[in-house]
Amino acid sequence: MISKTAQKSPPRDRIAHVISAVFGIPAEAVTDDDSPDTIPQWDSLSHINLVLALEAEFGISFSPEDVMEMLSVRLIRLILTERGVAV
Amino acid sequence: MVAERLQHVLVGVRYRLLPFTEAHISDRYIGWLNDTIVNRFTDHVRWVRQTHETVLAYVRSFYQETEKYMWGVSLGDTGELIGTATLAAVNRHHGSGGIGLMIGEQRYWGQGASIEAIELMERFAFETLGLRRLTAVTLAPNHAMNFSLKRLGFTMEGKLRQAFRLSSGDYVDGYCWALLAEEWSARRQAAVPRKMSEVAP
Repeated sequence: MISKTAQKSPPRDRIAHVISAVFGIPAEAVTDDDSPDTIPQWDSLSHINLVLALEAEFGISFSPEDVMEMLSVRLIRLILTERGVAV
Repeated sequence: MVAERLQHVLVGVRYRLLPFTEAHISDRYIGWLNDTIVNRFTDHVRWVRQTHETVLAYVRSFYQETEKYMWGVSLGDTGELIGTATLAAVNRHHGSGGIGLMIGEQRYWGQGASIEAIELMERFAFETLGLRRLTAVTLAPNHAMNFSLKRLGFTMEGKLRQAFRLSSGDYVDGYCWALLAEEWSARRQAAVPRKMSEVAP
């Protein structure tokens, strides 16, 4: 179910939207420089939740190497772009 | 020399590593080893039903002549044991050693225990033992451990293609990781120091 807020103002950036949902931070606050060093909730377990949420959002399946490399928003964007996904 | 290995207590911010001995073997510990969720990415224990006898032989192997170390990962405040950590395959000629880790208490997954336990072993290996290379082998689908090693600056040096069979029957790749002493030093100088120490023997 889509919330009223999301219907009114869909996030411009789908990656930021997913990160916002997984880590409970405002999507507007998410930058490409964000990483486990800047988001304390981004630990080994929540990283798996993030991967699953990104796979659901973009309809793709990441390889173990991709999962290993996704250690910042910038790297996530790069990997999705390399996969030909519009982000 | 063997007795000396029992004296290294590694103290972190939230967790501490205490030398793991026969006295620490409990039904809870054996239960972790037989838990199909906990052991799904461990290479050896999941193929054999673990009993007090098999575990006793394993723990005793850490206190024989070959240099290797085993700790219980415990909470710093209550002392509750939540897993085990190992530093094995110590080779003084090459200055290398390999780490292993199991957080058996699932409610502590995602609580920073793995990161802190590995950091403590890094410091022990490089500072106390003077090793220059620390290694680890993981299974490709072990995303949590791969995440932790990558975050701690380990380099994935190679892939062991289809080297491991999961309980499901699927074959998966193994990843070979390593961290050099100079890389560890550089990371420490760049990072905000954390309150970690080794209790002097």
